[in-house]
Amino acid sequence: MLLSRVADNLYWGARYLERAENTSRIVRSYTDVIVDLPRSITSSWEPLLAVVGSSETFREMYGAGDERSIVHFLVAELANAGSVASSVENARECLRTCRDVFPREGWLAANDLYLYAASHRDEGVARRGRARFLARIVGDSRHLDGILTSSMSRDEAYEFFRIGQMLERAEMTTRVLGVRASALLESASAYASPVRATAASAAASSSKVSLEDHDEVQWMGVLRSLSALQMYQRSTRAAIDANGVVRFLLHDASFPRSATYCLQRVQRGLERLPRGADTKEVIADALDVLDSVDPDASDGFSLDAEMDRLQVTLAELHNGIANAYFHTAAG
Amino acid sequence: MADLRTNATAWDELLDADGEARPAALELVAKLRSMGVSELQQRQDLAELDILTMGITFTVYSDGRGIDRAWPFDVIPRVIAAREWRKVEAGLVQRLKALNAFIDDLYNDQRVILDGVFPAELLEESVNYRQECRGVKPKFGAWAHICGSDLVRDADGQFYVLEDNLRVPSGVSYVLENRGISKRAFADVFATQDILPVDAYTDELNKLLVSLAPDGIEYPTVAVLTPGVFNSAYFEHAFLAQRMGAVLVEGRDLVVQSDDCVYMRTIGGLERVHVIYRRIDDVFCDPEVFREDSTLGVRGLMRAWKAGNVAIANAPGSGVADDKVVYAWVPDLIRYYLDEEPLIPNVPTYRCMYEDERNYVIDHIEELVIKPANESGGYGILIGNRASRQELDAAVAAIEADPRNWVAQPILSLSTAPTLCDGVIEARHLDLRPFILTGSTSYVTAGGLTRVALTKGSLIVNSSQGGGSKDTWVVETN
Repeated sequence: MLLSRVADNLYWGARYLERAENTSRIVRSYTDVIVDLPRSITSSWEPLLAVVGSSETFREMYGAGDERSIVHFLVAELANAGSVASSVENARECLRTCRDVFPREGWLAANDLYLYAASHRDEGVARRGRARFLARIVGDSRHLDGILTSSMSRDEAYEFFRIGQMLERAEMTTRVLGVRASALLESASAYASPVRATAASAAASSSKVSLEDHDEVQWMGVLRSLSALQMYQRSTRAAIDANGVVRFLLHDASFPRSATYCLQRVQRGLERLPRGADTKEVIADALDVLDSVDPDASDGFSLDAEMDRLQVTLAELHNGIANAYFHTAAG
Repeated sequence: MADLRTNATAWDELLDADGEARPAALELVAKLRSMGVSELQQRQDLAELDILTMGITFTVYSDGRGIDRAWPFDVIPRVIAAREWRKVEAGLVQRLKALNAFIDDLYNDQRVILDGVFPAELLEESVNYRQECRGVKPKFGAWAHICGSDLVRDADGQFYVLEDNLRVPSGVSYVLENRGISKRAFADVFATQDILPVDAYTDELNKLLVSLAPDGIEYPTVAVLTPGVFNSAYFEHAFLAQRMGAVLVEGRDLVVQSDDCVYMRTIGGLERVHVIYRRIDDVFCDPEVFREDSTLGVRGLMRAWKAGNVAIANAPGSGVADDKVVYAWVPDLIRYYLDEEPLIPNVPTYRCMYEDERNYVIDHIEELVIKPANESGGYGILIGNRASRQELDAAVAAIEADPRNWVAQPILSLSTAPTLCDGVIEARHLDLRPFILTGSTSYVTAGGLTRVALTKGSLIVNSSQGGGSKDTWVVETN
């Protein structure tokens, strides 16, 4: 009964919403980490750009990056398709075409979120208003999620929304870990070859304390940016340890933001759809790849390579779903 | 105390000539007079906030891009007495019944022409007559299932039908949304009197559409066919689909197979569609039959419809009765098909094709509105008392060159209602568009969409040109 075009829009509506929420969480927790670091460490905001995979777009538009320009680009910039403001706008545009299958209250929440983001986006840039703006985005997105949980029939439309959401969430988890990897590489290269180091990391290595000494703070920041700190601690009951964090975020089947949880949810969603056989293989393959990912979290190269491998797998999964359901050319 | 003023030359919907409340508006006017303009403004601001957060929008085009605008709404309602409304309602049902009989006749036996009631040459010249529809017999003899008729009230207080929109009339979603907003803004007034509800419309529309399904289909699939998100009425298309539990489709979602049935492309493959409520003009419906360049329609849709495998509302070809020439014949058509006198008058219409009527038009051109017979959307209209001598001469020349293409009507003074404009309450002109449904039975909205010209003195009520809207209250009085 669900139109392919509408399924496509629900899937993307969910992805954009999740992207807005996740980008907000990441910017918020990154700000927290930076605030905690001693001022003697010159902190770089560049790794944040890698989270949304848009370093090149940024450099074309802004040139050099400082805190203000990078946060503006990630939060408020409408010319950046991956910014919080753009994601919210895109989500609303997608859901606008799904109103016949989407709960009315859900649409109102999406519209409300859009109105807020469109009129307040610039307040999310300066540190003073940033936390409040980002918390509102996250909160509104959770609110919408709650409305769907409690008022939307578990039909095909619901499954497409969840599949989009979970795929986006899994991807964001890999990106956050990828960013951690690039930060590790950056500080490693600063030690090995100061000449090639960036200004920021060179400054870090020349000061008495280095980023390395704050490894724990950094991994804590990773957990926070995925709202995973408390659940991690409850599940491990031990000090924060790089490999433990990575394993938790990738493989803990009960934490709802881990890659495994997300992909298993995608798998269940796909099984509930008509013609589930068409995607059976691609999701099974994705879960196999995920199972086999086991990087050494202290080694930037290893972590980086494994996250790349996982992202390629997620892209293939997306293509598999799109080919099965969104491009039905029958007729 | 809010000061309610009227415009001396026009009929006011809330107040009589002495500035006293009309009986049906007694409670509302008392309420308005007891509150200050600032309190009214507060209610207006809250209403606008509701509109924004509920995403009630219409789309305007600018730089080739559709922009979503908040729906313009004036918080002061327009009031009609229920006793008066029942007469209007009967008149609208009567009118649509006659128009459907006329359309069905034109595509079948053409008795109306054989009997000399409607001139054959007018049919030949009609741009909205679709030869492809000859011989089709839709269920219940109904072609135009959904009609939006524009009513105006002249200075004498009489309602007149200005035109019948039989193609893809829009605005009904705003009737329902306006009510939702005004219930909040005037909860106190709703509590103390009987205002007829409007909410049943979507249910009635759904029943009508389901009843049109090909015989033997127990649970028909109903689809609302929209041109897409850039259409100015997209909000309404989505709204109606949502309220009816229908599927909102675009042309590219549909396909007609070799069995002459219509299918939609779903995630599970092709699924049959039984009823289509089309919100695209019939010339765009099917590139196989009508405009080849149409990307909005569905190839083969006419084949499927003629084979009886899908119902289309309004039926293709219904537009033949939605034209300013046919309009002039509606009173005759009511007498011919129903053997009844029209219950709501037409605006007197002079047909320039007849010599005596043409001479009258040319002699009285300053007092008339001159309209081309086959244009819609207000194009080519000349208002005699606002035109220059040169424009009037040009109009006379055009009429003499092609008399069939012109009709003329007296200049009506549209009625007014108090309206909140920039912090002041002033009289503004308005019209009314009720929506009429017809299939095996008929239904009329209680009231309809009141459109108001927000610019002082203006008669243009279109939302794309600075018009606003009001909730319309049909109030029971004792």
